[in-house]
Amino acid sequence: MTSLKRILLVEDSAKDIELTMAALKEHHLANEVVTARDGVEAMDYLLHRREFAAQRPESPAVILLDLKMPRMNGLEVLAAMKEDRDLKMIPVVMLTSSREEQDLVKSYQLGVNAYVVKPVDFQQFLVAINSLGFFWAVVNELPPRKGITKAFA
Amino acid sequence: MFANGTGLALVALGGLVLLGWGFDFEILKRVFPGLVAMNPATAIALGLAGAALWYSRPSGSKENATKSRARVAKACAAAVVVIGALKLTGLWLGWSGGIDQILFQGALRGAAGSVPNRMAPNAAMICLLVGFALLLLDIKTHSGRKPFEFFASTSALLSWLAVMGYAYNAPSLYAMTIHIPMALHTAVAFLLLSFAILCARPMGGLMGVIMSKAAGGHAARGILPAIFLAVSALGWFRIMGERKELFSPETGVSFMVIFGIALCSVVVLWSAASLEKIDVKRREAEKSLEAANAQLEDRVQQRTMELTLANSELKNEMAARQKSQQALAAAEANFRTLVEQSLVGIYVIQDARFVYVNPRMTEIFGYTAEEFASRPGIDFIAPSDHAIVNNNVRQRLKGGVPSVRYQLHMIRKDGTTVDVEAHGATAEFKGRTAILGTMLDITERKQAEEAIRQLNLALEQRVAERTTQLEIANKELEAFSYSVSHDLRAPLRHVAGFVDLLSNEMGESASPKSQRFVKVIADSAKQMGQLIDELLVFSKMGRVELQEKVVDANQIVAETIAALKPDTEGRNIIWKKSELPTVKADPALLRQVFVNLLSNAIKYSGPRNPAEIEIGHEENDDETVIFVRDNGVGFDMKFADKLFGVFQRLHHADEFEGTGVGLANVRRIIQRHGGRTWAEGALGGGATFYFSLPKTRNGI
Repeated sequence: MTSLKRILLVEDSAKDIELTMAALKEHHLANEVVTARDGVEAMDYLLHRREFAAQRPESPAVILLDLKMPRMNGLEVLAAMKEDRDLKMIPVVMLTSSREEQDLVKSYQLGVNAYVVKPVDFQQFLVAINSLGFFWAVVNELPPRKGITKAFA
Repeated sequence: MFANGTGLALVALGGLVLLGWGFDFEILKRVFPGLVAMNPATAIALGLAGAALWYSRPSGSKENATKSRARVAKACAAAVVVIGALKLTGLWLGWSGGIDQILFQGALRGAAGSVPNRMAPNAAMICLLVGFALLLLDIKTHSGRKPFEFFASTSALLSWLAVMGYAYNAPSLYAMTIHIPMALHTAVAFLLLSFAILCARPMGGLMGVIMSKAAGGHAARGILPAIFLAVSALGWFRIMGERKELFSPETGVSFMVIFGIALCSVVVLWSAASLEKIDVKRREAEKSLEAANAQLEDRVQQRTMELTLANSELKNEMAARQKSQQALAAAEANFRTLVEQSLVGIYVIQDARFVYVNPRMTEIFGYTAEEFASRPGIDFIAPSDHAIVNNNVRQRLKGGVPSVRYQLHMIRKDGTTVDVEAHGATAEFKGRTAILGTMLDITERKQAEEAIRQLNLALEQRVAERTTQLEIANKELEAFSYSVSHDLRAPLRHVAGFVDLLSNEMGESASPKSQRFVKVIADSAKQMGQLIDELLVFSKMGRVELQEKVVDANQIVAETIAALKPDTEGRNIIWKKSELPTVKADPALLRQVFVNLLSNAIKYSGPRNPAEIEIGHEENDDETVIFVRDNGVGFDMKFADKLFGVFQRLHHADEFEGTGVGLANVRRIIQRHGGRTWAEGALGGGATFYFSLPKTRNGI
């Protein structure tokens, strides 16, 4: 536990980013939060492309993924990740406004790890974010490192 | 026969005697020399009597001849009577001359010397008797007697007496004292004549009895000659014996009497025996006849019975036949009427021609029956269908197909084509094979079918269009609700979030008014969030696919009550739950129905302590009706219709919270199951909500 892993927040709405950051901050989660503004940016980050090329290569502890985004939406990101040998083991939590059944079904079909509907009530939102962060960033045990994974593959 | 023969013989005898006198042949006059000769008058009388007998013979057919012959006979008989009467009258009056001396006077006188040949008085008497007998031959008295028989019998006895006189050599018997005796052949001739007269009319008379074939006749024929001959013979033996003095007159009489008695006894016994034999034979014959009769009667009776029976059977049969013929005729008339008045064309085809068509056929095609019969049947069929018709006819004639039914086109007299449906069956018509069938003008039906087909096509096209439209609308609706779900909620969250952040930022220092404003904004945002959620659920209820299963309503109710536990916290609620049936429904949606109804019941019975909530059901033939009843605040029945509308509420949000979507969801779900929803209640008197689920369901 020398260094806490990052949380990747993929969210197109600045307001939501602000509210989410506020919620995370409220509960003193020490993990570094990286934001991506849409699916394309998220994939760039994960694959160290373009502006993220120089970044330290490290998988996030969890990806909080919005569903509805410009360019590449959450489901497309999820699908792309599950296609990638390295990325498919990273836990992904859908964090979205919608409780549409079709989205739920598709997400689980694509192998999402959790699906959370953002409550309208801010207090409830705080509770939700807190639980999420605590669980995925602290409690949850991550898969082994890349090298070992490769040995198994 | 005997009478006729005797008649002719006597005529001949009379003739011969006269010839004897005429030519002086002694043998002809007296037969034996020394005996008395027959007087010529006697000879004439004998000849006349013989002629009378000959002419009075009964004879057949020719009446005129018979009558004239009878007249001759009567004349001859009268002449004989006259001869006899004249002689007797002469004797009585003492005439010396007479009828017997008219002929051959010289010969008569010279021959016998002193005693002239005269006609004997007994001969004259016999002449008289014989004449009467011949005259009265055909006379019958009222009592049925025949007088001629008396005269003939008497003459026979007198003649026999004379013959006996010669036989016994007793002249007193043939000669009357001073008179000349009767000649032997005269006596024999008179005897024969008398018998012949008796035999001339045997029917019903004395001779009839003697000649009869019955037992009496048989006995008479045996006894009479025996007595005549035997008694005469006895007398002769006695006289001979006495004359030769073989025995005294007393002995002679005794012998005669004894032999007479013996003879009579033998004759009587013989005839009795023969009568007995005949009688026995007759009785046997009668018996066998009786038996035969009885047998015959039996057979007649049996035969009669058989005939009666056969007769009655025949009668029954005839009645039955008549009845069945009448029935047949009636049936035939009925069928004829049916055929003639049928709304369907009926035809008979024989030798490929319409040999019979009913009036309806002429109506359909415009041809008369004669026109139909005048051309080959194929001419009335549209050329395009010739092949079909020929094939059908071939198959039917082959015997493989007893009847066929098909549609074809035929041609009317005006040249237009008519669609018909024809049915034909092989049958017998007037003793020969024919096709019997019906024809239906289906032009209208065809047109109607075509119209329906067009309509269907148009309808299908419209349905397809409409379906596409609906699909598009549905897609749009989905997109809309999806968008609502995401895009409408996001700003709300932002409002709520930032208001919260704002209130934190303001801290305790903010004015109470500001704090209230911030709270109102937060509550409103929260309420709008709820509304959006409910609306999305309601929209979803109309779109999701039903997944019906057989579900146990009891289980769903129990689960729902358990799920609503948080709402009943601190409440005193009496649950009255009766056993519910299993129903066919989408379990998730049915759960939603119970959630809405039970949460309503809990909510609106809030003011009651204890609250009573009853869940039950009623069954009818085609529905299961489930109800939820509470003793809550109830509602005014005026607004019963509004209850199930979206966002329709009968209470203020201050009183009971809620969005007004719950019952609308219930109605939508139940409608999608093909059921009904309704409610009963009274203001302050509780409410009952019913929904029904059909037991069998066709479509949605």
